[in-house]
Amino acid sequence: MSAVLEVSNISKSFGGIHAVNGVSFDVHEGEILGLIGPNGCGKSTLFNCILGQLTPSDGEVKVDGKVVTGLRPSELNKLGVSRTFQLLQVFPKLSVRENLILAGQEHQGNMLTRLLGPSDAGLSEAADQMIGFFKLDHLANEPAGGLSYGQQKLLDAAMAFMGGPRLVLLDEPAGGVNLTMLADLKDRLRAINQEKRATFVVIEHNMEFVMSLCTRVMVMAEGKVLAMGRPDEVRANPAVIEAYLGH
Amino acid sequence: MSLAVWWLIRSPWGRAFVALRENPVRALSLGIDTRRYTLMAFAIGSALGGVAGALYAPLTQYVDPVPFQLSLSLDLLMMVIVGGAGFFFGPFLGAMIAVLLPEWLRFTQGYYLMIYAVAVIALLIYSPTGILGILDRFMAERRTKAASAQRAVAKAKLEVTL
Ligand SMILES: Nc1ncnc2c1ncn2[C@@H]1O[C@H](COP(=O)(O)OP(=O)(O)OP(=O)(O)O)[C@@H](O)[C@H]1O
Ligand SMILES: [Mg+2]
Repeated sequence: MSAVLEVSNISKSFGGIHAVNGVSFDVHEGEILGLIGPNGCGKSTLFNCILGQLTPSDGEVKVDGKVVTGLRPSELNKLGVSRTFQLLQVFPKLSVRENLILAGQEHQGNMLTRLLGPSDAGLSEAADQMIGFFKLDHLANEPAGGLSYGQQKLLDAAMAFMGGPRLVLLDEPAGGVNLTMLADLKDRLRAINQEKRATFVVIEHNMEFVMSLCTRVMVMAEGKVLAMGRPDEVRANPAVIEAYLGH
Repeated sequence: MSLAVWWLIRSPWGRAFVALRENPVRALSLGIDTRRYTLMAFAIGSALGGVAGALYAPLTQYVDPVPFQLSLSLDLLMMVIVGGAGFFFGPFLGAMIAVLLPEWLRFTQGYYLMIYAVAVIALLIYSPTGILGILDRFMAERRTKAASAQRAVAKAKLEVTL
């Protein structure tokens, strides 16, 4: 198994706060790695450092063996790395279908064909497939801003898959999604992971969701890696119970 | 000219421009090279200005610097804002109003500019996205109402079958 993502010794401080403090880990092809830990332990900051949203104070990130530290988020996305944000980030005025086409269009053709070619960049079919896949059919032409929170959350996740990514980093995809939709979302993620051979890293506070979806789980506390292992190992780890899981 | 702009807005470029305006961070994460598109938007805007200039010269047959003072630029900006920035027909509507309003308000004589100013301020407080922004909101509300009505009907049907 080859490493799709290699993170070595990433650190990030804001003023005096060491939000991320020397974090290293690898993610292998086809894996679904869960990332858990208390609020403010640095999970989202770690994502932002990996994805070029923030410049890490120290450390290195490799994707498919290639150093990508310092690349801009758009360049990383072109290399097949996509993400969702913790806070919902769809484009409220564009329709659901337009949101999905937008999410895939930079992976089609070049600047010139995107100007002179078809308005949908040849993605209407792919967008409709994704819409069907996430069961948003009846909403395809609605402005995304009019959808319920949970539906927007699904759309947000769907957008991350439009470019056919190799590696997807999801920041709390299940937050605010109701129980039936949650089971659906888990199914969808698993299906994309298996059919498309996409590798995932998932931040999530919902333990049920993480433990049943992920192949491995990494626990962070106060900017550091506290534990890493199979879900059952992590769940039984006394240090993890102490710092995060409680009881 | 307008056709070319219409095409541009409907193209993936137009979509990228909307994304850029609404949420540049998310746009960047979706592979949209925000720097390049910003540059392009600027270049296209400038080119349109150039074309307008080229059309203006033969129209007046005489070019002097007076029409190019700051106040004209502000007038043009005002037209865009009043009509609705970000809407294809916004500038058209804004220009129409800027030309017609002095005629309609002729009876107020010297107070025309004051009335115009107060009206624009009121408009921006009520709707920062201009007149078409009001229209847009109105349509969105109607759609939402229609959708919830449909949902209510569907729910009623469901309850009947249960
Ligand atoms: N832009 C910023 N400027 C200053 N401090 C920041 C910034 N972003 C994050 N922090 C701080 O870094 C620490 C880690 O924040 P981060 O958002 O990574 O936590 P998290 O693990 O994602 O938490 P949560 O589970 O609540 O989402 C926090 O103490 C936070 O206040
Ligand atoms: Mg977070």
